[in-house]
Amino acid sequence: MKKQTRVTHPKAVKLLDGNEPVVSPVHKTVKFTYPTIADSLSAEAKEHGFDYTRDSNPTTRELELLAAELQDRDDAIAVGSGMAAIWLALLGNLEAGDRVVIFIESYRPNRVAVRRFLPKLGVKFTMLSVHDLAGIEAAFALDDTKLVLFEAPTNPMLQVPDLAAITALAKRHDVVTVLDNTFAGLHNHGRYEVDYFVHSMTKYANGHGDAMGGIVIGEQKRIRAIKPLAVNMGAVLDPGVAFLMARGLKTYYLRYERHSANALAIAEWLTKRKEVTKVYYPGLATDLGHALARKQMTDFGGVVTFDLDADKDRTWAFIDALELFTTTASLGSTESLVAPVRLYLGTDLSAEEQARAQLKDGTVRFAVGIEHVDDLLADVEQALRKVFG
Amino acid sequence: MGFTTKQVHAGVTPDPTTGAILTPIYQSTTFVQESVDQYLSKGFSYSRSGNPTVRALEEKIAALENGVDCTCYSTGMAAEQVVFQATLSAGDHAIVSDVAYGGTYRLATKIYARFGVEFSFVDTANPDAVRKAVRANTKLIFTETPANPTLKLTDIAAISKIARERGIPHAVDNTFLTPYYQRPLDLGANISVHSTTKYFDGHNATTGGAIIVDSAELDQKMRFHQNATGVIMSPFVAWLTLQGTKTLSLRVERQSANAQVIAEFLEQHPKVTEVRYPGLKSFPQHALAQEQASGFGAMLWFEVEGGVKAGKKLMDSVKLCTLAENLGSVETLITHPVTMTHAVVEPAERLRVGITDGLVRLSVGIEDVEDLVADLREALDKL
Repeated sequence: MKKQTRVTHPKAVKLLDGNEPVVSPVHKTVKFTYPTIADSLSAEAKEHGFDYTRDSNPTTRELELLAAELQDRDDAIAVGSGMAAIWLALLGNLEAGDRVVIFIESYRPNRVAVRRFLPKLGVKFTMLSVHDLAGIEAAFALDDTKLVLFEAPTNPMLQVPDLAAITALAKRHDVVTVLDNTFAGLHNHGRYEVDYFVHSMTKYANGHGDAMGGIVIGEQKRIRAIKPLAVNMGAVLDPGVAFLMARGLKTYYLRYERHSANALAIAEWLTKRKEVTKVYYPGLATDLGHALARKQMTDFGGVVTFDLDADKDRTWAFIDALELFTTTASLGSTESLVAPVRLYLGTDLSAEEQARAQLKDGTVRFAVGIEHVDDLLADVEQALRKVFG
Repeated sequence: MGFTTKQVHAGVTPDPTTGAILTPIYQSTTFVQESVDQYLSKGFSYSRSGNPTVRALEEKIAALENGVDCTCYSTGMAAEQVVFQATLSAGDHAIVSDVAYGGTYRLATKIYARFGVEFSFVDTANPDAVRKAVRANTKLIFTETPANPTLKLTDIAAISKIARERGIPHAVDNTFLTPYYQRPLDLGANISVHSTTKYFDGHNATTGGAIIVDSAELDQKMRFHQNATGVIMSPFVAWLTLQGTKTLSLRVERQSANAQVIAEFLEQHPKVTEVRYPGLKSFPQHALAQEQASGFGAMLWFEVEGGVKAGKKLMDSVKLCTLAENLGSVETLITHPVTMTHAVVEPAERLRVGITDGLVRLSVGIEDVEDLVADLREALDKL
């Protein structure tokens, strides 16, 4: 073979049988091949083989199976972002004429998907509060209601929906349940009869703020039903990113535990401050959703939202005065982050809707990291002192 | 600032151009200079001499070790090699712990000895032995504590005191305990050396090394030799290590808690004849372990009834514990030092320092400890 040919056909270094890398390799390849066309068409190749990375890739597949197991399901499709996962679950289950139930407490881009973009495809929506079980039942009873998209706890106000009640109503009325479970994490809520779990893996799964990804998890039958759409949409998770996700997941439990412990300490501390009028955190014994959250979850995550007794300017001044908390969206990474809620997460809602969703000028969302909690509290205290004296 | 805050934030500042919260991977060989007169005004010229991503890691590790500065290398051995190079010349003498990683022993006896450097392998657990071994031409005291694999401890403060009296730099291989549990520079040592491959990365994904020093003068020496010999860390490895370091304390805490449970389990098992773990009350230097470190780490060793044959059978029977070299990662790894990490050390020397043929080394990971105990119990019950 001439060397000009060799450079595109290098001799593969095959590992000896049993000589395995402890960490799976990153399969950075677009194509997979077989010795013959017949081999590529075999039953085994169809079930377990790889062909084209937009369809599937071993590095990404390993991540999908791991995430599915953590969420107590047996199949999943990983995609390039959390929103791509939401769209996969929506488009995979809907057609023109259908109705979707969405909630005023939802994450803004989820609401925007359902309220602004789905109607362009002829899909209607009903927007309710997650606490309005009578309204939910009435909406589910409508003939055209096909799917409900909800969160537990909700982003950013950490409202806790009743998963047993909502999933039971959905089963009764044959409504597909899509739960954005990003806040609760892969280890929570698996025992509820949710049809599709969606996660932004950018958050706790990756955990280091260094990669974006999303995943739709469910029973194999349901995942296979939306797989052709996933392949056609092409919103794939790159194998290099899948590697970073898998690497992040190795410390998932350690991180989620520390996020939760830090968040609870901060939430408790905030409840004692005169500058704070209300704290939203399901782990707080005084939180409205606490009893339900304790039943549904093992721990409560790193997001704490609270209302300052302040107008917009003083609230922004408080956020700007924080030093360890970085002002930005996102959550679930090692660093603590802070967001002005109304500005970042409420601009699609009218003033009246914002009031119903409890979004105020003084509302602040902390995405608590894994730093030492004493340093975080000291930072919050100095920022409060700077603004409130 | 607490250690766990520093491990997330130290060395990392948002990128001034884009606001990116994480340090970018500066995969660039060379850096443009504004003018000849302003050469190096922005701090970087050529990635062998310095790279911004690597620099972020160096600053983080220096902060965690309470050092003046840090340099990062392609492997732990590259770091150690630079410590030797920066301190030793032909005609010099060095004292090295008699129990040390096989690679340290090899570097001394097979390479530096060829260039006229003399080594004494001394029981550094005994300060008097170190004092007696010091010669007029001794230029380096290199200790490893806990030592790989016997876990013998060196009293860092005591040896540092002897070294300082004679003006000899004391370097400590701090790989086993990490700065979360042990900070040699705080105890008087001048140099702390790491294989970042182990706990700093923690995910079995990179190889790297680090040297942390207590003076700018020592740092300049390290940098000079690194630049001259080119044993640098790549920007991509530095980035992965930066990200891994952010969970260092979480991992080490869990690994150590798991190791304590496993050591206590092994101590009770009838097929186990001996267990060594600094956190066990039966550990000969348990008091020193408590005094100079804030935790006991995740390395332990044990011997089983039936010697080498039984030990090998055990290692072949475990399922969850992976038979592999390396340590400090999230996965539990099991090693047979005599055939693996310390094969290069002569049999007589191994026996002299307590590395017996049946010694099984365990690097405990962050798995659920019940799963690990069950795996070991099943394998032990087969013996």
